[in-house]
Amino acid sequence: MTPEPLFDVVDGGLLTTIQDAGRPGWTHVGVPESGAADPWSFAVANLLAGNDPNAAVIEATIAGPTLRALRPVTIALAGADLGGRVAGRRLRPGQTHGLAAGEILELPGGSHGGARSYLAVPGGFAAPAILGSRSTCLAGAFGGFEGRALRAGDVIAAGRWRDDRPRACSWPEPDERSPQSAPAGTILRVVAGPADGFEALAASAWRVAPASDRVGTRLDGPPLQVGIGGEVTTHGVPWGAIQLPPDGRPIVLGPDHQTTGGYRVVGVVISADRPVLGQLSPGDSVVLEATTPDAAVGELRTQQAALRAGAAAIRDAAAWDALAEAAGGSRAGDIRSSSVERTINAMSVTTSPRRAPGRMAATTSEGGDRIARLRPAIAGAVAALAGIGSSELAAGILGAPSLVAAVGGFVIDNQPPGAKDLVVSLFGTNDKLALETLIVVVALAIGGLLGVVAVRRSSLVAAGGFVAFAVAGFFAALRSPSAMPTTAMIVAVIAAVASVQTMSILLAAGGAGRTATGAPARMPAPDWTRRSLLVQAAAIAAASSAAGLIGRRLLDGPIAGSGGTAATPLPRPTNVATIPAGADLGQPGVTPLVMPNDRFYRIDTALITPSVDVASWRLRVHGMVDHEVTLNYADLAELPLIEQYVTIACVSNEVGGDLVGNAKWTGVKLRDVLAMAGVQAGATQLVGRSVDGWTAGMPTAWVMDPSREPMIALRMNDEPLPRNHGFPARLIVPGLYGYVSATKWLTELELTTLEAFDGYWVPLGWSKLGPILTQSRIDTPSGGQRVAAGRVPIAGIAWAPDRGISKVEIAIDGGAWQPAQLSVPISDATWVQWLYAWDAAAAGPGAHTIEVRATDGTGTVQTADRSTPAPDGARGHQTIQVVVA
Amino acid sequence: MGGLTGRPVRPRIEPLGDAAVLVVLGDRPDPVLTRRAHGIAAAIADASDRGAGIGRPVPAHASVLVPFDPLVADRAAVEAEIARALATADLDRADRIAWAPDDPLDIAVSYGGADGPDLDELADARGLRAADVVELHAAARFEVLFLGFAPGFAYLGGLPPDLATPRRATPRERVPAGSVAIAGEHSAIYPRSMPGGWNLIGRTDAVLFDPLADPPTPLRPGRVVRFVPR
Repeated sequence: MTPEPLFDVVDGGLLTTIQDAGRPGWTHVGVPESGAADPWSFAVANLLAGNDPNAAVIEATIAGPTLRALRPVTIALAGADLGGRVAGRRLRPGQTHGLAAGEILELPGGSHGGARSYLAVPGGFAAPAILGSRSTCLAGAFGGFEGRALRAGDVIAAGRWRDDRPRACSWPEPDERSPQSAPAGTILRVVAGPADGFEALAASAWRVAPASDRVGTRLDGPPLQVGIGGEVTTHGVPWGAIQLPPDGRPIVLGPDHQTTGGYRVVGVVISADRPVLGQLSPGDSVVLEATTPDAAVGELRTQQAALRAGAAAIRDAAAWDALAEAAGGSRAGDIRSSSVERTINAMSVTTSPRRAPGRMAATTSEGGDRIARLRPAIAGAVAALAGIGSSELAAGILGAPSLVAAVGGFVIDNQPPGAKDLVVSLFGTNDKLALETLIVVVALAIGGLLGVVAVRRSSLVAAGGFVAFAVAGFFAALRSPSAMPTTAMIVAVIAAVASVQTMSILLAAGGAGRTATGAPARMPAPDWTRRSLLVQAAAIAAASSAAGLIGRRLLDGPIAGSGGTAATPLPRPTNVATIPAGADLGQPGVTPLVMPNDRFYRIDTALITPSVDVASWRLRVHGMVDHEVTLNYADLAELPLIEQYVTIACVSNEVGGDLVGNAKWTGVKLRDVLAMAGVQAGATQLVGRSVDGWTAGMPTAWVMDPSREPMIALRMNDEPLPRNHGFPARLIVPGLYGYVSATKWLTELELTTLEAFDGYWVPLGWSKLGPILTQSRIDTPSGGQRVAAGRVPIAGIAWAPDRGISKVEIAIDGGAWQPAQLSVPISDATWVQWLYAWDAAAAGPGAHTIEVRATDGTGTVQTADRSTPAPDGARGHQTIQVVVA
Repeated sequence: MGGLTGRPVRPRIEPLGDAAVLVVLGDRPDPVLTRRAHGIAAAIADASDRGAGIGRPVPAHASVLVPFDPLVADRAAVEAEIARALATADLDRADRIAWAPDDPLDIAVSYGGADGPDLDELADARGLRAADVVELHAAARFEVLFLGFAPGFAYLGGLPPDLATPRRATPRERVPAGSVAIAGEHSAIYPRSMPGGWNLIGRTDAVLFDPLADPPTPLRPGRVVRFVPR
């Protein structure tokens, strides 16, 4: 069987090799066992791919390869999550994924946990079996792909290619063999001996050194007592052996280990922990723990049983898939298809434009030629008009944004500079009407074109064009702060269905002549003539126009809730928030100093973003106050306006995560509003409540502390508060996580006690108090990136609102902390940028770890101890790996 | 090298993790114990051929590593096989199976210069002239003790005691393929380019490891190796 080329290697990655279950039996001539460094993930990958247990897979290390699929292929991924992605899709391990021909698979790496990823394809990868194995023997430069790691330009092929259909398949349980982290680090269980000294190792904390590879994992740690390590008479050594050279730094042997060694072996990592060993990357903390050979074998049996159970579950799933396919995929397709799709299907059957073009021409009279030529265009244009008219009517009735107006708004926002001046000079104050008329005319023209496409090319393509039109209108409509996705979607679907149906009817009517010649027609009107096209078209056009005008009247009328919300003018703030010189380091790759609204993170519980009508919106201040106060938007806008830059963060942000943002907020002082109501003594908690009932509770003392200025924000980065950021008003409280403060769509402020009420997230296990923890993030380089061996700028952001940041430091490969350059902070409530120029050339080629930490304004150093985001925010330092070329 | 005396009477079996044991015959390099190690390894290999869950043994200076599959063979069964091998393996058997004193392998060597960058330093350290080192090395009758470290890397016994020299303090990141080297009481040939700490005195073009050949290396244990200056 000729090997089937599967992938072009675009980039080989750090160390990407072909591996199978290994090459035992040749150690007596010095040939290492080789094989997958993580046998568990190797087995999972092959099980997912439906392979025999010894099939050859690709083992990627830390920074994986980039591969271009040369044909459609199903791949199985297992092991470390190297951030796999294809065409914007995220590919996670423990699953199969379908790739189309030409798609590019990337495994860029990063700080996702684990070092090695396994990629299997059905039938395994092609490689010659040498000395009984397809594994790459790097020490002997044979086996696998030409005895070496993959590199750009290689073409890798399948071994025994099975042309299987893409099959969704995932490992049935969380991958229990992935590294288990104890507080002090990953645990490796060890049978001690034969040489003495393991006790000294077990008492220490170890860190995986950068020089680790498939030959051995090197551990760095505190210096051991002199004389524990040393040389012995060279003897055979197994995978997992912990060698202790005279320098006292242990080497845990891997699958490519030298077959004999002359250093003391103080213990051997148990077979069941080889998967864990194989997933360690430089910088990981490691703890060595003693166990007995019997316990070790028990662990191995448990592991094998888990593997068998997983395999059985996958086989069952595969059998289910096969049954489903035998039952007929077309039926499943019918169930899935929407009414729009069914309409399209019906249309493609009825019109069949390509079925008999000659016959059509023959039955068309000389005098009808003109109409015959124009018929498709007329049908398409009327279809577009029907779509617009019906959607305007629906929008008017539902109070949703008009699609035409939405597209118009999009055009206004994205027009080229000067275009507005031109339109205004041409049409004066009627510029908006002119724009919308233009949009309708263009839509009709495109509709006409689609009608022609339906007849000459494919009615499916034409229908797709109308649907795309509606979808574009839908997305344009969503930009409106008052848009609700559900109603906007109803409007868009109505537009799509109306236009597609209209085209279907008109083309069927126009093609009625074919009915006489025996061509199939679905419409129950066998006696229609060509003329019926014009009659029907005129009728539909008239009805659509009427519907459109009625809809627009409804939209512009007083019952519409979306009218002038965003346009509500606000007075000038009483202060001007400025950005000091030097606040932006201008380093490429670093997060912008001020995060644009459309890139600002959004975390809330609202499935459907609340759409608040400003006219009826009220803010009620009640509870333990002297007198209850209810304010409308205009009342609020009469208070003195302030603006300030504040960095807010989400408590669920992981170390290195991007759920943090800095914006310029404009609004009123929260304390001004509270003062109007008069906060009573003993009111220890302030609760903010959203229009959708969500609540956040914060200590009143935090809000009243004069060192910070909590606010009710009405504008964000000089724009009206976007709908998904809480239009019309939200709380911004410097220094607190959003879940205990940043109430969006704010409608109530309630004063109570800390004991009397818990905010939304507190009963769900999150901390009652949520001050933002000091954190720092590396924006550039990204984890797993290859960098040139020169000066490499390492840069990112750090935040500790509202304590401020006093220092950011970098450690390379666990070395000494080096201070980074800091930007000038806008205030203590905002993040800072930092920059460190790293001499990568001096560090040398290979993998290196970069760790960052910050010190806040009080002098407290960001802790290295990792914690999960729950219950009060993630702790720990971000550490990434990069590869120096 | 007084390895012919003082070797332990009773071999001991030391556990090496959950999937291997080490049969220790002595505590220093000893050609007699190496031969015995080969004999024991060959006897245990019979058991591995029988599918007893025991892997291919790895003989060395004075030990045999016996890997096994702990899900197939338990430690007691492995130790029983080893005991049987210890009882049956003798030097005669080792000679028959592994030792091949005839059929010497001649290896052409270019000594010194760029091919043997450590020759002069080694000569100085031993109080010899470089030419003396070459003469001694080329006159010696080496034999393959065992293979380890890397594919086709053979520890050669029979180094004249005057040439015994410790490893270099700092290993080289790249030793060229074919380098003829000395460390401790042994000589060796690097079968291909790799990191290494031995003292390099010459270089050969001989191919010493070919994974597609059968056997993959001409350096079978017991074979006599002679170096021929070029």
